[in-house]
Amino acid sequence: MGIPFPSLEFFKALQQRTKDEAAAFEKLGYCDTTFGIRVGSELYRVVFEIYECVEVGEGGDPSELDFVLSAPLDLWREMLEAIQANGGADAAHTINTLTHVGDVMKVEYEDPEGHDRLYRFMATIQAFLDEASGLDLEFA
Amino acid sequence: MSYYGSTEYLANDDFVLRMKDIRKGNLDLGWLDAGTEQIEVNAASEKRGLTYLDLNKGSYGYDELPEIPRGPRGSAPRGAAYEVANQADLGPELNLKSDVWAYKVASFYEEAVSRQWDATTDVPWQDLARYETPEEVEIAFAQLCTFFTEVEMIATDLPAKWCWRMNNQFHEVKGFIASQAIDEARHAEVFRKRALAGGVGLMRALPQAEHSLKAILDSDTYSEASAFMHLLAEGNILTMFRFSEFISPTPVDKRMFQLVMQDEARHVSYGMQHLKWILDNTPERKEQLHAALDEAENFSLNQFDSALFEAMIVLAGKGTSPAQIKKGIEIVGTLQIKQIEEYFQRLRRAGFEDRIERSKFRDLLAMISLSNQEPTLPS
Ligand SMILES: [Fe+2]
Ligand SMILES: [Fe+2]
Repeated sequence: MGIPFPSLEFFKALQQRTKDEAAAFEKLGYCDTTFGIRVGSELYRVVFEIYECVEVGEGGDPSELDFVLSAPLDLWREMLEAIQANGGADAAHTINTLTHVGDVMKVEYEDPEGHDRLYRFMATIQAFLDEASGLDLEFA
Repeated sequence: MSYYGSTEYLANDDFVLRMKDIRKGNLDLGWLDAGTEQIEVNAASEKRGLTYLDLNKGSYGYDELPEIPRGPRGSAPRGAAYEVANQADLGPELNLKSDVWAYKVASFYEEAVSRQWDATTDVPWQDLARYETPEEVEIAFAQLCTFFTEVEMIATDLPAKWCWRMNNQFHEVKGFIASQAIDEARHAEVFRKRALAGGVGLMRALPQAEHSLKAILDSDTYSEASAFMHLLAEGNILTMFRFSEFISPTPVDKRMFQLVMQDEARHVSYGMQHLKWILDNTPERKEQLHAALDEAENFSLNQFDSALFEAMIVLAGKGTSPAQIKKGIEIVGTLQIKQIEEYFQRLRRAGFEDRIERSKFRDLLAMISLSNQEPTLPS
C-alpha cells in the first residue's frame, strides 16, 4: 500500500524526510515559515522552523499562513509524478515555474512579506517537495 | 596619508616609560572594572545557535536604542565603556536610528548568514553541456546575464558605499548590508560564470540600466537609496529572477535563479521594513521619499526600450519567429504588471499607500493593459 495523496500521511512522510535528510536541509540554512498547500479544496498546513519541518496539519486559517500554494489535484499529481520520474522537479514542474505565469498553480497570500517568504526560502521549499521522489504514492 | 597620530610614540617619554613599566610587571589593572553591564545570555534555541536576537538585552540590546543614540561616533561597540572625548570621531553621517533601522533587521542578518551559498559549487555547471538550446535563445540568455551582472556590481557597491557612513551603534544593520554586499558580489559572479559557461560570453552593457544604477548610487541619503534599490529596483529584479527561472532553458539555470531569488527576496524584505520604520517613526520624511521615488520610477521605466526588453521577449517566446515573439510579448507584459502590482503591495504594507496614487507606474499599467480600462490595482 502506497501513501495516499492528498493526505496528512503524505505530509508527515515529507516532514520525516526533512529529519532523515537533516544535513541537506541544514546546508540550505534557516527556514522559518508557516505555509499552506491546497489540493483542490483540501488545505494542509506546513510549519518550518530553523532547518526542518516541525509540524504538518489539516485545515487552518489561510490568513494566518505566509502563503498558500493552491492547485487542483491533477496538477499536484502531474508535479509529483515528474518529481518521482526525475528524482526532483524537472524544469517544467518547479514551484516557481508553476506559479509564475497564469493561474496554473496559484500563490494566495494576504501579507506581501509572507509572500516574499516563498522566495526567501525557495530552495528549502523545493527540496521539501522534491523529497516525494523517494515515497511510494497512491493518488486519489 | 590623511590622518596622523597625535604624537611620535617612540619619542614620547611617558609612553616609553609606561611600556617598560608594564614589561617589568607593574600592571595598572584599572581596566578590569569597565563598569559595563553583565547580563545572562542564552540561545533561545540550541539548534539555531546564539543569535543577535538572543543578545537583545539591556545596554547591549537594540530595542532600547533611542532615535538619537548620543554616545560615541567611533567604533566603540554598543554596550562597551568609552570616553567620548578620547574616542576617534569617524564622522559617521547616519547617526539617527531611523536613518538605517528596519523592523526584524537582526533576523534578516541571521538568515543571510545561514543561507549563504557558493556560486562555484552549488550550481551544477557540469550539467550545462547536457542541454541543447537554440542559438538565439542562448544569446538572449547571455544578454540577460550581462544585464544582471551590471546590476549586481552596483548592488554590491551600494551597501558598501553606505556601510562605513553608519554609526557603529547600528551594527545589526551594518552586518546586514555587509551580507548584502557579499550576496550581490556572488550574484555578479554567478551571472558572469553563466554567460561564459554557455559559450556565448558576455553581450552588450546597457546604457539605460547604467543610468538607472548610477541614480541609485548617487541617492542623497541612505533611505532614498534604500527605497530606490531595496524596494523598487530589487523588487523588480526579484520578479525578473522569477521570470528568468520560469523561462530558463536548463535545470542548471533554474537552480541558479532559485538561489539568487532567495537573497533578493531578503533584500526586498529589509527595504520594506526600513521604509515602514521611517514612516512609523519619522513621517516628516515622506515627501523626501516621494521625490526620490518619482525619479526612481522614471529611471526604472527607461529599461523597457532596450536590448534587455527584447532579449526577455525572445526568451519568453523561446525564439524569434513571429508567433514566438507574440507569445514572448504577452508573457513579458504579465511580468511587468506583476512587478508593478507587487511594488504597490509592498508600498501599502510599509504604510506608504499614498505613493500609489502618485506613482508613474499607474500610467505604465494603463499603457500595458490591453483594454482602455482603468488599471486594476491590488486591494
Ligand atoms: Fe542581487
Ligand atoms: Fe539584491
